[in-house]
Amino acid sequence: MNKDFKQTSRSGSLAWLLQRISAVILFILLLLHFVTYHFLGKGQAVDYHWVVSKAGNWWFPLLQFAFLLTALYHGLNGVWSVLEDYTSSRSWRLLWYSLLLTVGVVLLFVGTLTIIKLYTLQAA
Amino acid sequence: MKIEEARNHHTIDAVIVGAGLAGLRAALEVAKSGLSAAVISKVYPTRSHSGGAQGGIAAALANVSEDSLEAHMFDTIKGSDYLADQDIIERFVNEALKTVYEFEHMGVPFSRTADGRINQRPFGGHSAPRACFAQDITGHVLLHTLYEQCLRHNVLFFNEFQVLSLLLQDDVSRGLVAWDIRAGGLHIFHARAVLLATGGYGRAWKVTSNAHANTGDGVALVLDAGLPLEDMEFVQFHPTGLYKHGILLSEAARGEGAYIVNDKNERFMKTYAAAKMELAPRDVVSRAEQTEINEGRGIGGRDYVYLDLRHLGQQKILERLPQIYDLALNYLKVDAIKEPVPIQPTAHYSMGGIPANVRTEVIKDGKGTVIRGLYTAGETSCLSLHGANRLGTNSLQDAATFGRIAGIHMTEFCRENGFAELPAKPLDVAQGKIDRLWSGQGKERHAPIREMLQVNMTQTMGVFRNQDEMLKMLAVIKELQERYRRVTVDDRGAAFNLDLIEALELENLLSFSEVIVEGALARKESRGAHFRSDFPKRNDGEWLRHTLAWRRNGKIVLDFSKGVVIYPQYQPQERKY
Amino acid sequence: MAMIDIRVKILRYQPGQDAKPRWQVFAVKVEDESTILDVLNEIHWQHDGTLAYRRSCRSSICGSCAMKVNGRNVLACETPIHRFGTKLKIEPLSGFEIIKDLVVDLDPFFEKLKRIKPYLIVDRPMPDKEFVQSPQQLEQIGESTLCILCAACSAACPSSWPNSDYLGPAALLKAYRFVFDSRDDGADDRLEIVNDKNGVWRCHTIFNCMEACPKKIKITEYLSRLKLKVVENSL
Repeated sequence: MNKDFKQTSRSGSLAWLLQRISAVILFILLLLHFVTYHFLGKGQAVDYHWVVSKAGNWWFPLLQFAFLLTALYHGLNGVWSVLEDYTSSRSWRLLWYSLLLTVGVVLLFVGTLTIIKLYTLQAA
Repeated sequence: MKIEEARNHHTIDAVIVGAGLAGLRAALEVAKSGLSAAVISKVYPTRSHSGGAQGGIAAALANVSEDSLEAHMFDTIKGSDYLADQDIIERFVNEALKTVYEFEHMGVPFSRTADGRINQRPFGGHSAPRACFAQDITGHVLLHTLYEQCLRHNVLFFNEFQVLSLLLQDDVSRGLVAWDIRAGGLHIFHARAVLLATGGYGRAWKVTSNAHANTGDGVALVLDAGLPLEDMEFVQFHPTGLYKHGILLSEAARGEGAYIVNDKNERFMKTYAAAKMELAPRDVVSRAEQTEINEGRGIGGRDYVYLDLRHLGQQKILERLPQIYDLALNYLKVDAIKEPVPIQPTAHYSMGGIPANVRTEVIKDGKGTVIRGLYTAGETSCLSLHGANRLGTNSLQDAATFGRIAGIHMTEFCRENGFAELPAKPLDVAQGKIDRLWSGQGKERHAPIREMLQVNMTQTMGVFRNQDEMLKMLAVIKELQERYRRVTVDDRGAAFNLDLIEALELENLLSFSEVIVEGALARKESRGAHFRSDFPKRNDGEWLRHTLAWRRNGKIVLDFSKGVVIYPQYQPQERKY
Repeated sequence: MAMIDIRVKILRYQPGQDAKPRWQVFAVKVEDESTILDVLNEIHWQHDGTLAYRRSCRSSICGSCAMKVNGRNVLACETPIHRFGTKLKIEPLSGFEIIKDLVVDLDPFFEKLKRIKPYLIVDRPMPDKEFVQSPQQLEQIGESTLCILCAACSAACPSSWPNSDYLGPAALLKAYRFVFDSRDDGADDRLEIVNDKNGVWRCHTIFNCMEACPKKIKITEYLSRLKLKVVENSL
């Protein structure tokens, strides 16, 4: 095995594959989003009341959550791949990675909370 | 030994000068045997001018129609106008098939027939479709494939080194001295065996298909070392040089069916070679072209004719001849699908060169006395395989086949012989050349001298030659040699001193050009690519022999004692196409 | 054909003299049909002998003279000046160390090539004659074998600039050329080598390489096929 160039510990093939898969999912979700928000509404204005009125359906929070998850993964993974190009030192990479991970976790938490809130708001 | 000296002193079994097809093939052979092989090249190996070869590599595979080794042999003999040595041709055709299959096994992406075998196309002077090709980039893919194989087998590369002197003593080669172009500084290469594979010398002409690198450094080194050159007056003019640029448009275009036409839109080859038409050998077609131009039938009465590809159709042009299409478009803004391409004869291939025997050992006289440990192969050598005129696609085959043969014999030689001792003060000659250009007080610059040489060589030493013009040329060369003594270079820096390299190359051009003219003056006949208007007939009685030329006490000395090897079954005949 | 006056700005660097590269302007008279290489020759031969650049074949096949002209990577020999007008700005290729003037150190470029095992690997016995390869099989790799290793692609690649360990488009294209050769048995090895963040995964399909390629090879497309092959192989 020819290892005399600086190979990194991880291949990157999984990240590449997941980025493509998440892109496809994101595209489908985006279509669904458009259909549900803008076409099924039949000219109704999309406002707070409309959103609250939909939030009670079982599929609505599920769709929202899937959207949140894939968009976060796809976006952060994309940013990470760019950062990786420009940071070669291990410690910087670790720092950036941790930062992105933290941002991801925080946003996931906040987002999930919002979806739950919406759903329970309707239920209540 | 000081550290500096150690860094610049290399001890290597086989040192190969030149990274074209011949050099790389030889290096590969030596390296595979486990000996150390180093390739010294002026350029990165993939920049070598073998890559410029377009149309194909000859071998009688008989993949698309009947063919035989005998036919290949006879075509080559006839093409050479009977000046080639037939024992060399016999060895050549016998090895040709192996060379091609070997290339294929190394990964060369040959164009294929529908059933997946190597495709072959017709070429000038060959009686069967014998050119194995990869589109019109055959030389390029062969060169890159060989380079890849050399990397695999750990050939050492000294890229961007200019060889300045051979270390020879008592008819034994001991190595050489080279200038490190990139960093500056002289390096000694101590070797058991040395191969000179430095390519052609077409840069002595203004209109040429040759690369900037093809300054005949190998032949000049040999001449400097007191050894002879052979048949230097035989230089092939390719009929389809891109007008004004001289860049090669492959004969493959005609192989695929392109026409050459004059101002009256006539396929004029019917007057010169009715049977073969555009696929007559290159000397014949170039002469026909030049005659048309001289007699006022060039396009608009000017100095070019047309290569017409239009009837081949867009698909064939783009599939089979994409490089030709691009070259015409880029350099002349001519769309070959819609318009004919302006062409003119261009100095292309050096049939002459360093004399060697069938084992590729350099010889020093007409009797064949060998210089031990010194070998030569490819365009720089004169075995003589191509005689007075080379057939298209025989050159790639020549370089690869005799490169391999050189590698085999060098390996044997290295196994049986130690390192011959270096001569005393090995650096002196090389150092002297550099010092003179750097410390001289003269005001001459190299560029105008080279320009004058090239322009005059194109005018006088082209397709047609005669005594008056050649005598004038000789005087010009003498004058330029005199001026060269006063040349100094602007650039005094060590690193990548292009100024210095070009000045050194000019010295080589001036040196061997004199041999070309002297040889051509002496040879009072017309044979192959050497055509004298004042002696328009071939004269087998007097001139069926090779020219050997030495420089002795500043004068060129000629010798015609080396006869041509002719087999009883292939006696010279009238050459008609 | 007519003579025209042009203004040529060249990034000069003379080792030992210049602390860092500097611009120098030359006013020269050349034929309007000149190429960039003709202009450089004119300057070098008539104006300033110290100018250094690489050139050899003049017919866009050797790959010596790749350089940056008015911001684009081109082969000097095949590029007519009229493509850029009468003001030229000539620089060495980006991303490589400058040796002198327009001459850059390409050793790292060729070193990278070595790392992908750039040669046909055959584990089977060789046939007596040629391997059978259909025109369709050849078609897969045909265009990629046109590569002249001029380094214009790697020098144009934004992923290569910040990261000298990235294999770069040329070496990866060479990997593609062998992985997709029907005669080759070395794909597993090569795919493992390029399956790395410094291998094929640093290519973000920016398409700069493709735009810079003087041979118009669809490099990005081939690298994408290589990526898919890596994934297929590792699944």
